[in-house]
Amino acid sequence: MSGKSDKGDGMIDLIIDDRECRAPRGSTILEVCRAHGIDVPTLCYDERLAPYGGCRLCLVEVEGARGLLPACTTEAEEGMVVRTSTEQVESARRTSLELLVSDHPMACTGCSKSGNCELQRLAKRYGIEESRYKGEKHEYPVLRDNPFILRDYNKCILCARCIRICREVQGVGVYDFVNRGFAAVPGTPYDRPMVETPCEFCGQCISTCPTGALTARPFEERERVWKREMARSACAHFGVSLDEMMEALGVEGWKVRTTCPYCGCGCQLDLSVLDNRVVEVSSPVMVGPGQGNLCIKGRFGQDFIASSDRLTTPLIRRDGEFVEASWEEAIEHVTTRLREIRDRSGPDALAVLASARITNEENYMLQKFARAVLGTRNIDHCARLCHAPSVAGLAQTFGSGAMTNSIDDLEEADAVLIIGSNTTETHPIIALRLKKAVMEHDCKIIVADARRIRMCYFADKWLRQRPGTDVALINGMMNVIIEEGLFDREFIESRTEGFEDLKKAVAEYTPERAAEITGVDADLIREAARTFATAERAAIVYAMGITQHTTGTDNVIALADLAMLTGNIGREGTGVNPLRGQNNVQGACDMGALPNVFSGYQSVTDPEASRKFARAWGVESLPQQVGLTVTEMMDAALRGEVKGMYIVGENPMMSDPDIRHVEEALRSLDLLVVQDIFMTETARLADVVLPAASYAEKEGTFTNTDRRVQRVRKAVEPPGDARSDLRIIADIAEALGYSMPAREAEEVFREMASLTPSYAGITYERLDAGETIHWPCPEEGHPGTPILHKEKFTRGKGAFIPVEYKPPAEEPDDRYPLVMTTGRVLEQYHTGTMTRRVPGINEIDPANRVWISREDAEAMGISDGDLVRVSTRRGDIEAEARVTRKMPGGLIFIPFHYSESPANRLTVGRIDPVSKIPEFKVAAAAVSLVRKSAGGNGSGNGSGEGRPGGGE
Amino acid sequence: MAEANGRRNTADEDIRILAFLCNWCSYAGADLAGVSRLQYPAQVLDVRVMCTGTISPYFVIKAFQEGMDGVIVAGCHIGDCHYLKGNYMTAKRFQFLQRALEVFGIEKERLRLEWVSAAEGEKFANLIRDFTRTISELGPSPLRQGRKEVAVR
Amino acid sequence: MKEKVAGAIRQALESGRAGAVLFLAEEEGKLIPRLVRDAGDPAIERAYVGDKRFPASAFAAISLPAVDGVLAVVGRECDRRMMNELAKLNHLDLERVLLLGIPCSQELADACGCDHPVPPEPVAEAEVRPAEALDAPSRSMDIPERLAYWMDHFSRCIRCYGCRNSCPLCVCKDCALEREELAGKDCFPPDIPVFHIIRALDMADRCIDCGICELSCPADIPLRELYREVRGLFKEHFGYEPGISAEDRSPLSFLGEAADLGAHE
Repeated sequence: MSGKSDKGDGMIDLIIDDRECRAPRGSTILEVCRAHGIDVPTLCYDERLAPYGGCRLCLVEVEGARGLLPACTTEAEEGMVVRTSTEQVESARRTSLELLVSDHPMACTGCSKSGNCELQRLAKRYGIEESRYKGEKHEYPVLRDNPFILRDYNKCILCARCIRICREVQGVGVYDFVNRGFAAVPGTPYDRPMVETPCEFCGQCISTCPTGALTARPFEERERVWKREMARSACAHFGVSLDEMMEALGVEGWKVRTTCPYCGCGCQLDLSVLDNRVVEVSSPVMVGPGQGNLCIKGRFGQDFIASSDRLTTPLIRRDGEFVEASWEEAIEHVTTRLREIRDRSGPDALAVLASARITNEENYMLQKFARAVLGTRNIDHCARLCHAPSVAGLAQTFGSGAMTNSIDDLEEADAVLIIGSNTTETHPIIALRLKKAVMEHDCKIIVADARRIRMCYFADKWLRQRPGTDVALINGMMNVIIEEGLFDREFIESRTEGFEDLKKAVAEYTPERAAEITGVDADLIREAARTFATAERAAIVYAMGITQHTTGTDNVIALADLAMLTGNIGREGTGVNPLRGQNNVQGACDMGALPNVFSGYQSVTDPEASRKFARAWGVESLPQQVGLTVTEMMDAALRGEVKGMYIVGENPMMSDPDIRHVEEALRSLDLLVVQDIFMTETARLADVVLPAASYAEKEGTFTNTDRRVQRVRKAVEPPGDARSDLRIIADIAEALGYSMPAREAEEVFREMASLTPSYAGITYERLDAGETIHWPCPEEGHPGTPILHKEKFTRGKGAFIPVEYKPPAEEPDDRYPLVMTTGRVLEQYHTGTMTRRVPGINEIDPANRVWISREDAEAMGISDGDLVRVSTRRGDIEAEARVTRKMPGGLIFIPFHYSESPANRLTVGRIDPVSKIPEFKVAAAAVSLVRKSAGGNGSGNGSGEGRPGGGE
Repeated sequence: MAEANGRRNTADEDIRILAFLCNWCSYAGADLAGVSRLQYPAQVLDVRVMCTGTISPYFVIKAFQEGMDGVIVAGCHIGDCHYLKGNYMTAKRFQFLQRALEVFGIEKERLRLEWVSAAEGEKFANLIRDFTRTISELGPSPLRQGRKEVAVR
Repeated sequence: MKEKVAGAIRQALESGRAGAVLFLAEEEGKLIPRLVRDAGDPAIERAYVGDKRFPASAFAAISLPAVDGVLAVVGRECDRRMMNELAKLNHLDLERVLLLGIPCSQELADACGCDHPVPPEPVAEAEVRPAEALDAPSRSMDIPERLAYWMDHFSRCIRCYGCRNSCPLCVCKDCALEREELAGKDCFPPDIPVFHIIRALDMADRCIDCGICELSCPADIPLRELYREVRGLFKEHFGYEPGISAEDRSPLSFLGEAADLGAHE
């Protein structure tokens, strides 16, 4: 039967239910059926997982085979004849269902999964309301041991999807079957509560569970949404899905597809809305960068939208207090003061901080506002604090400063160098792809990080370099690659220039010298270099550990050199991949919210570009000098050169280094206007606060880290008098005498695209039709560019630029003997304005802590859980000590999310000379004991390792 | 039936009574009864509320669920409520609830609604005596064993 | 009668009296609610007027926000009462809903024991008499017997919340049945009879006897009988029956005057 006729195209032909079907060789029968719209029922199948064959519902008849075969695990073969619905097949299915139902509480009318339950749908389809099989039924207690996941194993059908997804996709493995036989049930190790397991609360288990066994607690438990419960109950009566029911009832905006507002991964979210409230969050399977997977913030962190802390009216400071005002008053006040400062001290006395959180359209408008309306050259945003070196460094070497490959093709890598990125905590979704590469085809991961981060569990090699020594490490690797002839000669000759200079510079960084500087064993450097260079496809993934240094630009350039040296550019599974932090920091940069470029990185000093924009914007001329960066603006404010700042969606009082300095600077301004969704630490200092709409309350686009332009859609109305940033900016511009007729997001996008070659071919029509478009997309018809620099670099040939190791600005000394580095944790997001308003997240991650190595803790007499003071030359904070093996001696780590214990009070404001990014990653610190913890041995977890999933 | 014997939690037949007393009137009345050394059976548990109008019928049912044999709701006289009209709700709710108890299978005599002012210490003592006798005659609440008796099918 | 109903739906839309009409349709042997805004919508042909009872007005509050103008609902007398009660609970604006009333068949009326099978101004006439009240076994029992009767039924409860979730009038955001201190939490089975008595007391002045609760209960607890008894008593005691009028409010929902308190002291 299996005639292996090789048609040479890798396709096979078979017959299913008398239909001729064609499919790629290696497909399972189930995949072929699905591709041809043939319905075969399943319960244990999920597109994200390997087939399991557990539920036996997909049994089909295959001519010539003994017995029925499960379609999900049986490979389709040439010439097969398959029947998916014979009497025998249906009878087998009905029996399986009846057995499942025999131990299931058939109380759909009250179940929170009704309308979404795969078992319910199948039972209804087969007319099974109760089972003929009588016997013992389970009586498990409902488990509510954490704020996010509700476990009711009475409803479990043992499909193992939760177990499999936690293992195969998330790579954690919190669940497994415990007990045997009738008592078998999914459980956690030793039946511990989930908060005591490595669970990352990603909720993938909930997203895959076909019944109500695993459900999400937020939105369900805070207050009853009776309309949804009634509709669910009705679904049980009518036998329809909840989405069908809502559609039938004409509910508008029940499911709104939008993009997650947290990190740069850009996962797609479906927000379910009832009565102007978001009542459910899910992610469409196999769509977008996440493919249906989310992290704790995306899935469970949307409570902030409806938080009662939301700003709802404009506020003006009078006599030291905030007074509520109308929009007319506020706009009048703002424009009067702006005009005053501009007239008195010139437009450059004004500065605008755009936002990496607001849409592309809004950022475009902001830079237009700054340049054409205010006439100032000073516009910047927080990219300055994160990936400015990437933009600067890659622009020099490649001609374009963005992630060269796409998240999707990272899976294809054979080796990945992850340097300065705690990927599982800062970009969980990208980490899933990397873990997949390891689990599926043994990709070799090289982690370069001083801390033992979770990615180390998946790594082939772990280089533990001292913070700030990255150039030495990378140069050391390049030295080995050149020495041992492992470089890509052909690529270097045809695609690059400057190799000889690099070779000369790198010759001094022998593994031994590199080892001396970095503290990494010389042989390990050799092995890592070899692994990277000999891999067919090797990618580099990096983030703040590379950029947030006074040598940030150099660090990036070194990585670019490494990639070019080994020919790892322009192919799948390769590339230099800066992981951008914010949901729209890539977009904000693309839109020109930077002091040196317009949108599309067209230079403000280029007379032609300047003329083009001036003409488009209807003004005589535009400022032709490069303006101040964020870090420079603060200094300029203190000197009195900048007198007024307009800050949108940014919180420098938490995110900038040395916040005492920032506070002084902001307080010295004549005018501070802050436009945001919450009263942030920065807004508290403002003269005028303007309430803005969140991402769920407006239309627009975000551009994620792999240059994907994605839609943001309005799901709910903004609270109170809050307005979209687009509208606020346009209103203020008009009040200043500049006409801004384009008020709809789409219009603004079109205007921007007409001036920005890389976005020129992108339209809302294409995006709304579901197209995935990575810029550059120069014209309509162009499919977008997932991989950059395929044939040539943006600047033509790649430029090798040699860089030398320079030590960090502030090194430890007698008074401050430890190196302090700062960073993020999984559960919280940046300055915490959003995540610290999510009750569940605060429950599992309530306060700041400082990670200290065992040796240092012992030497200082500190135990896990003690309250300690961390001081640097800039100030001090208090936090709980987390004593752990994961830290090397001499290094401490502090996350920066907690406003009552802000790590940035300690960081040093020294900046990289090229990109002006501050050195968040290295400072000299001292730690002292404040108070011993009451429990003597720390907060319940005596090992001092803390929650395994939390902040490694 | 068992005699009220003035000790708590000893024999099975011990009578348990819960009294909701409002802060301004009936609780003060109970205080007065105590201060005046008026004798009345001791197995009444008082719950002081600011106004009987805040008492939900659910609490009374819960009291029975938890095994109380009798429940008293004693508030201010109509027209004397400290919050003006709180006891209107009390009257409406508990007059109805008394009758409704019978629908569920609980004797309506087990719930008593009375108005006792702060000066009526004697009335309070009489109320307790009388009610305790009634409850003794009725016997322990059928719900006392209720939970254990009924099997789960 | 189906033509009359279809006709009434079309007429309501064409005349502009209603911006949309909500009704039950029968499609491929299954019932499904439908919201139509266009008189030419083919779904109208499939309007259902049989004996399967699921009151469409239960969905009125869900559909109303997206409707421009008035929402017409094809419903029975219990639908009318339901909407009155929803309005009293501030979940429906009666100015924005309109009932296209249909009478019940005799079989249905008898099965429900319904004494009000025809709404005022129905879209079609029908020969139907008020039916005899259904037998309520508990009524003729003495008190201990009655308790045993109810406890026996309640003992099968698995706390699925089907009765509460499916009830169109159970709209409280903070439900007493989920309060651990009142009704226990997640116990399998729930604390009885407090769980059911709480609900019954709420239904005393709110229930309009649509019967979805009993339909939804997987343990076949005779909930309608329980709520009917309590409601009957409420009517006897206060002279108030829920749903009949849109203006009269339950005596337990306002403080009122001393004069209305009846004979107590």
